[in-house]
Amino acid sequence: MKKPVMIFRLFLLICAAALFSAPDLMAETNGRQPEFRTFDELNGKRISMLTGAPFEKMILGKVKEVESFSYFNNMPDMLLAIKAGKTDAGLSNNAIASLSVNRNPELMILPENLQNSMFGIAFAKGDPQLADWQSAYDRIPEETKQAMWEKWTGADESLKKMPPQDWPGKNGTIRAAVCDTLEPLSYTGEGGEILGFDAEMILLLARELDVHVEFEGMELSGVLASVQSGRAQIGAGSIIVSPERREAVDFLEYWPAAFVLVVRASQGDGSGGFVSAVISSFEKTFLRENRWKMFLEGIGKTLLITVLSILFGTALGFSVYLVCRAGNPAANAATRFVVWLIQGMPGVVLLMILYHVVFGKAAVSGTTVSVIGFSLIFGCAVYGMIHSGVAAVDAGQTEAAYALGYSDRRTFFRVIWPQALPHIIPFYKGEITALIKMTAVVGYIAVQDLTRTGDLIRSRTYEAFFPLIAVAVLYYVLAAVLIFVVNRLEFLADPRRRSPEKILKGVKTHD
Amino acid sequence: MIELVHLRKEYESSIPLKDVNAVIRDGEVISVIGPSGTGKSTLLRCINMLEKPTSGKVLINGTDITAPGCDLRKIRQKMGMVFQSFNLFGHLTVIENVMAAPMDLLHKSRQEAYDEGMRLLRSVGLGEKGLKYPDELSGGQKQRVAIARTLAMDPDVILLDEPTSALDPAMVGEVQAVVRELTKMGKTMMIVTHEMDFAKAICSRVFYMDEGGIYEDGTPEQIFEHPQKEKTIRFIRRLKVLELEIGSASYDFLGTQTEIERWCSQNQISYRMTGRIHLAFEEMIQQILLPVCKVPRIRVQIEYSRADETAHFQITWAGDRFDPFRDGDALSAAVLKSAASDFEYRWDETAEYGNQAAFRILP
Repeated sequence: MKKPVMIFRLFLLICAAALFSAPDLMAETNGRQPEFRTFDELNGKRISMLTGAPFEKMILGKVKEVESFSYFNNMPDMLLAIKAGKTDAGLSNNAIASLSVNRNPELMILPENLQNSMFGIAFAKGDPQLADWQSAYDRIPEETKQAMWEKWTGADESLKKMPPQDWPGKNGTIRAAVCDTLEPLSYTGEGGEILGFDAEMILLLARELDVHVEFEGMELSGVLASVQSGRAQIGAGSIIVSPERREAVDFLEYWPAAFVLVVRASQGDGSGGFVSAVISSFEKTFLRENRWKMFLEGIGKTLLITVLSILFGTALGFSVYLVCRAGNPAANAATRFVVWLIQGMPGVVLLMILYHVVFGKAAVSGTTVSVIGFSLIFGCAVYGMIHSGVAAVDAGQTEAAYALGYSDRRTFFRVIWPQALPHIIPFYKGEITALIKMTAVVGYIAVQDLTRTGDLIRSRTYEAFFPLIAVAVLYYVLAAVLIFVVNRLEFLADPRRRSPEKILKGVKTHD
Repeated sequence: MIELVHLRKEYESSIPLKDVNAVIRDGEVISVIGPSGTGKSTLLRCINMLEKPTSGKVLINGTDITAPGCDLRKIRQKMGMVFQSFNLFGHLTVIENVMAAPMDLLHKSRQEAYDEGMRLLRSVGLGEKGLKYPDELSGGQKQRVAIARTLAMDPDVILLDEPTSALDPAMVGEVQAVVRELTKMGKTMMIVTHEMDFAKAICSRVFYMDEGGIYEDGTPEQIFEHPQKEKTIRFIRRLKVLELEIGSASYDFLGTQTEIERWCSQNQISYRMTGRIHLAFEEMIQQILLPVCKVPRIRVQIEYSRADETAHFQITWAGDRFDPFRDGDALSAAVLKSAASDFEYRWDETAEYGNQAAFRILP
C-alpha cells in the first residue's frame, strides 16, 4: 500500500514543478531586438552574475543604479533565470554570451561592452614550459584561431568535434585540468570527452610541441587548485586573466575576452503549445545525443561510490569498534579525534582536502578519492551507531555470559551483538539514505556522478526541468533499492523469525 | 572450598566490604542476610569476579582467582550465578538459553545439550516452554529458566543474588520451591535474600552482614533464635517488632498504614489479625490520643508472637496524665475493648513519656 502513495506524491510533485517552470519551456522565436540597448536603459534593473565574481563595481561604473544583484553558481542557471524574467541582465564572458545568443533566439547581447580582457591558459608559477607554449601559440595563424572560435560559439553542433591526437607525442604527456561545464570553451561531450575552444586550442599547441594531452574535467574552482598543487601542468576553461589570478599562476593569453551583459530579446507574442514545449524539452534532455546513456553512467557512478563506501565504511567502523572495545586508551583517544575531525567538516570539504592536499601529487582518480572519503564518513557513523547500539543492551546480558564462563570476545559476538543489531539497523538505514544524497558533491573533484550528469545536461540544453526532476527521481529510486536490500537482510537475520525446525536443527526431540 | 582472605571492595563513594574473611566448605548452603547496603551482593559478585576486589584474595580450591593471569573462564564454568533480574539472553529461545553454554563452552553435541536442557526444564516445571522467548514468560518462569541455565553447566558452586526480589509476591513461591530442591543436590550454595523464613528453612549456615563485613556467622538456630551481637540482635528483633513514632498531628497516616501492612505480611500474620491490628491502631491513636494531645509525641511498639499468635501493643506518650481506657472517647474505647484485651495503664511522673498503655490482641 505504501508504494502507490509514494508514486502518487511524486506525480503531484512533478505536476507542480511543471506548472511553475512552464513559461521557461515556451520559447519565443520572433522579435529579434534586445530588450535593453545601452547601460542607461539598465538603470534600476536587476543584474546577475556568478557567485564569487567581484564585478559589482565594474557594473556600477557603467550602470548608475542597479535595483539588486543576484548570484548564480553556474552559467546555465543564470541564463535560465534571464529567460524566466527573474533577472534582467546577466554578466558573462563573450564566449558564453555568443554561444547562448546563437542558440537561444530569446537572448541577445547588450551592444555595449563592460570591459575587455584576455582568456588565459594557466601554468604553475614560474613554469619554464610557458615560453615554449607561447612561441607555439605565436606560430599559429590568426585565421585558424578565428575559424575555431566561430565553430565553437556557433549553433551547429555537428561541427563541434575535437581533432584526434594523431601526432607521435615524442615529448611525453601532460595533464590538463579543464573546467567541464563551461560551454563553449571547455565542457563534456556525450561520451564524457572534453570538448571546446580551449581544449582544441590546447591540442593545437600540443601538436606544435609534439606532446600528448590528458584532460581532466572538473569544476572551475578546482582548476587553478590543480595547477597550483601540481596535479596538472596546465589549466584552462574560460579563465579570464585578472591581477588577482596572476598572483596564483602564470598565464598564456590566447584569446580576447570581454565582459558583456546578456539580456532578453524584446517580447513578442508567445507561440507553440505547452505540450510541444514539454516534448521538445524531454527530447533535448534524454534523447538527443543519446543523453540517457549519460544518465545511466551517472547512476552507475553514484551507485558504485555509495555501495563501495557502505561496504568499506561498515567494515572500517566495525573493526575500529572492536579495537576500541578492548579498552586501549590510545586507540580510543585516536578514534575520538579522527571521528571529531571527520564529522566536524562538511563532506565536500573533506573530499577536496583528500583530492587536492592528501592525494595532491599522487595519480589517484576522483572516484577512488570519493570512495575513500565517504568510507571514512560512513565508517565514523557506523562506529557511533555500534557504540550506542551496544550500550543499549542491558549490562546484565554481559554479566550473565561472563558468569557462565564465556570469554569477552565470545560474549560480544554470541550475546551482545545479536541484541545490539535491532538498535543499530534503523540508524544504519538512515545513514545509507544520507550517504547516497551526500555523494552528490563528488562533482567538485571531477567525478561525473548523477548530480553532475544533470548539471552537464542542463548546461547543454538550458532546460532546468527534466534534468533536475530526473535526477531527483533517480535518487529516490537508488535509495529505495539500497534500503530494500538492507530490509531484506534484516528480515533474514531476525532470530525471531526462525521456525521451530530451524531452532532445533539437528536435534531429535523424542516427543 | 572457597576462602575469602581480607577481602576489600571500595567504590568512589562507599566501601561496601572492608575486611571479609571466611571459609566456605563444600556442600554448605549459606544464607547471606543483613540490612540493605551492607555489601551482600557485592560479596557474591566478588566471589566470581564480576566485581574485582580492591584488595584481598578469593581462593577457590586453593587457586587465587584474583591473581592476574588466572583463567577466570574455567573457574566461572564451575560456578553458576542466578541474578535478581534473570538476565536471560533475549534473542534466544528458552531451550537455546539452556543449551548455549554447554555447547559453546563444554563442546557438547546439540543433541546432548538438548536432552540435558529439556530434562532440566522439566525439572523446573517448564518442559513445555522450550520454544518460547524469554519475554513471553512471567518473572517466576524466567527465574526458573535462569536456574536451569545455570544447572546445565553442572557447577560445583551456585551463587544466588536475591533470586526472588524482582518477582511479584505471587511468583515468589514457585522459585523458592525450585531453590529448595537445589539445596538437596549437595552443591555449595550462597544465597542473598530478604525472605527470612526461607533463608532459615533452607540453609546450613548464615552470614549476617553489617559494618563492611560478616558481622556474625553461625547456624540458622544461632543467628535467628539466639543472636549474640548487638546489631544482629536488633536486626532479628526488628523483624518481629514494629516501632512507630508520631511527632505531629499531621503525620503520614497512610504511610504508617502501609508500614503496618508490610510488617504484617512479612510476619505472615493472618488477614483477620491484620484487620484487627489496623483497627486497634486507628481507634487508639487517631480517635483517642491525637484529639487530646496538643503536641503529640507518641511511640507505638507492636510485637507479634508466632507461638500463641497474639499481637502485643505498647504505647507511650508525653503530656499530662490521661488514662485512655477510662477517660478517652467512649465509643472508640468500646470498639477497642471489643477487639483487644489485657488493658493496662501506668503513669510515671519521672519519665519523659509518662503515659504508658498496653493491650493484647488475641486470635
